[in-house]
Amino acid sequence: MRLEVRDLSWAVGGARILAGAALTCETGTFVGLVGPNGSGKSSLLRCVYRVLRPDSGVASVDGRGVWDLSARGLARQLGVVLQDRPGDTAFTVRDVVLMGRAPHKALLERDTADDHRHVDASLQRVGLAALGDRAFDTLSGGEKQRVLIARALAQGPRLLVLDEPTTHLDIGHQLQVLELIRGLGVTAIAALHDLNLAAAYCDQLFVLERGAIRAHGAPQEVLTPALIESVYGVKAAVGRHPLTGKPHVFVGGGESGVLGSAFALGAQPGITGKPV
Amino acid sequence: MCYRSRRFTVFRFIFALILIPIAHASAPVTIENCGVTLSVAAPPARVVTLNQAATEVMLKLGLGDRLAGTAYLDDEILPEVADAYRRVPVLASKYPSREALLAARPDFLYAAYASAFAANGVGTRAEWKTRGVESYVAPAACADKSRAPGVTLETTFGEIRDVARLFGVAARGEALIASYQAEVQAIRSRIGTVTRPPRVFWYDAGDPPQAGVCCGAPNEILKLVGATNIFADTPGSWTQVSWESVIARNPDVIVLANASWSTAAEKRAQLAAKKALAGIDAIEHGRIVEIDFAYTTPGVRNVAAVRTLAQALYPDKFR
Amino acid sequence: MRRTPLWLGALAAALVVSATAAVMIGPVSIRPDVVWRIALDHAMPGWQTPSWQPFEASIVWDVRLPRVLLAAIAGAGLAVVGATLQALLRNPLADPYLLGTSAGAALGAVAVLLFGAPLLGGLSVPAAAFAGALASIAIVYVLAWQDGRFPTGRLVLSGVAVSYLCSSVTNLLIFRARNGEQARTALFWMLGGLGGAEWRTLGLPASIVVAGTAALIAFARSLNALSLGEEAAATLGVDASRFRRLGFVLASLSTGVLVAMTGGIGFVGLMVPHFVRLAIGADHRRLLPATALAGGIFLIWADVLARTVAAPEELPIGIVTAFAGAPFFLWLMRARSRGGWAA
Repeated sequence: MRLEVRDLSWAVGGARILAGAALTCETGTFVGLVGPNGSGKSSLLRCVYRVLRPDSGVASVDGRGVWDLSARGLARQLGVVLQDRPGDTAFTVRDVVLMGRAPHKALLERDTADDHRHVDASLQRVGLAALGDRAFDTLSGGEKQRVLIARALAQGPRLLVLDEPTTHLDIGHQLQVLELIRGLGVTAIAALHDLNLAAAYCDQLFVLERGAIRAHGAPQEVLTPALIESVYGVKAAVGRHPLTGKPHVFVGGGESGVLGSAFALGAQPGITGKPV
Repeated sequence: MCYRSRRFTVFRFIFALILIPIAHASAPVTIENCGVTLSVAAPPARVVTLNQAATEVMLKLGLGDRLAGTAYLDDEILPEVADAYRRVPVLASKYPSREALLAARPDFLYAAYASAFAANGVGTRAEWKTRGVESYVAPAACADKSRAPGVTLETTFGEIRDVARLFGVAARGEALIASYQAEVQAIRSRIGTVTRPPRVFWYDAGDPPQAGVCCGAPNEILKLVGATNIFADTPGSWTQVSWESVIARNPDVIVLANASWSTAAEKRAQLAAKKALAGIDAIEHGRIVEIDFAYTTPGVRNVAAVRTLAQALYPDKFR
Repeated sequence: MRRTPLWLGALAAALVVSATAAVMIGPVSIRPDVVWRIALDHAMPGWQTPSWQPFEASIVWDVRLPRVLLAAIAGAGLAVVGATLQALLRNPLADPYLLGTSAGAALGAVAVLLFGAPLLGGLSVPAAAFAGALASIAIVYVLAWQDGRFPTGRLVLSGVAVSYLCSSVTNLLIFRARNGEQARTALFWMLGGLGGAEWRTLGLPASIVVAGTAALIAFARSLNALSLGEEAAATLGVDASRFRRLGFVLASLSTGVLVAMTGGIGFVGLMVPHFVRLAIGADHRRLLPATALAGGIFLIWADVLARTVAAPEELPIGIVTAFAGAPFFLWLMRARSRGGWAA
């Protein structure tokens, strides 16, 4: 499924959040959407999965505008993994994943064996098949995130949209989740705050600055010290990861004296606030 | 010399004769009342009555000139004392505030219910005593109504005696009591013997129904009229019962208390609307009697209630 | 999966048993077989010669049976509305009266009880209560409306504000009551009671509540999705704002009708969903029907207690359910401290 976003603009309360953003996500690719806090990443994604109505511009999947489809129709093709985790619920893991089948069910239709197969397969793919009957609230952050991915998978989507899927995850789980997404073979677009993770796993990067796309392309083309300094306001050097061979950003080395190659930009919990 | 001393003795004798009644009249009166001992040196002259029943006792005893104020009229004042009532200031439609009561400068307070003396309302009896103001509560208010005999006419007569003594009009009190007793006696002799006492449901108000039960004024009135209260076995004066019990006990007559907050007409409509009650004898034969509520609380009106009920239950004997 | 049919079957059976037992129990004792004969006689008249007293038939058919039915319907309706509001507002302490229904109904009922003469054989108190409930709900929604949506926080605050306003006016009216008896009558209504149940007046409200409950059960999947958050629900294809509006309308209508008929019976809508959730899970497709049955059973037995514990007097049923409320909250505290809703 091909995602195309053209000329999205949106303002609220006098502040312009999106200013003519445009991007394309070819079938089967994993696109990373990066940019500083407040650049409009979440808002752009919200326009894609139809929770936000832009003032102008259109997001379309396989040529059809998202607002031209019904909410259920879109939900049958597009799976979303949100940044927010559900609060207090009494659901089990299976319950949560089963909800992913809702877009395919009519009003009074019961769950079929087919639905349960989808659930089982989704749990299998995220590696949580054994936790089916656990209470969702008792899982760790990483496990919850994987359950939400499983739910999105149960929808049988041809496009996956993820908003900061690695927040609150430890390093191991961050890698695991991104590995999983890339291995799915489904078209995916994820907003990521960690440039290095984006560089390591994404096929294409789109850099968003103040509501407009600043640069796009393969990670090694996009991530240059000049761009990083311009967009993020920090000095950086870009090298090659010794193990993976992927581009790696080393932040710091300027007057601010901030060192640390191990520091991914904004990887500390709590820094990534939600852009409006 | 002898002549003079004899005249002197006569003067002294006459003097003493005059003094004795005066001394008698100003002797302090002490009464036990609802757990409180009260004592007045002389008959109070500025009484405030806090309930209608108390007001009516005072007025029936001709003590209107001693009243400084009245309060909490439930319904119309007893017609025969209405003129005297109008000459007394009304302090409040319910209980007055402490300030309003103080402004009336009472030297005595008289209520029909102990709840009149609420600490956050008028003030407690003890509080008023510290101001030198004694108080009296109708004995019916603190009578034990959990079992027979409960409240009777004797209770009301005792109240009249107490009040008459307090105000030095004992003779008037006895006369009033005697007239009531005579009237009750006359009614009872007219009723004569009753072969089958009517079974009565005394319906006060509400749903679930509040009924006059074993030991309050309603039951006393029924007894004097020779009727049987179907709830004579239930303790209390007015208590909540269930419609089921009413259906099961199947009264011949239903007495409805008519009050401004729950009129007899409303209660009739309510009874008629409940399909479950249609099978009761009283409703099937339409034997429903109405009495104004003020006649059914303990007090001077109960005798009139006896007359009204007797006339309704035995019309052929009172033609 | 989760032994659901077993649970539902057991609950349904328990409901029937409870209803039967409740009709047998009361201040006037009636033998069980007499109860069945009387019921049979109404279903198939003339089929048997009466071996019971007419007053027994009157008590069983005219007094107790409508009352037990009302208990079942009210219990089911309140419990389902409670579960629904807990999902819609994502608040475990939500109950059917959160949006001002009960306070508005009380105001309407007390105003008529104390100051207006009944018009059609006692029908005007429920009518006034229903009008009061609708009016207060409408005010709550109008106050909470913002940009075409009803944000949860605003709804809750608005509901609390309107409830306080209504109850202060109600308390003023009670204070100004003509005498103590009237005040007691008003209080008795407010604490809830099923004594006013009659076949004549049961039909229309019962159908409204049953229809509303059935509709909510039908939309259980959407309720599930909404429990995860409005945005999450949107990604699952649920039009969150439209569905919430629908949910609130159904919930308010059911609650308004019930409060008008039974006064403010508390805790059923709050407690029963929690207990059932513990046993059967949070999936609303199972939770709602089970909660309905459990709520009916609970209220039937609460009514039996209200009728028998202080015989010959009848306690307002709200007192009985409130007594159950205290231990419930203590239990809930301990359950949550052990982690999550499902302890």
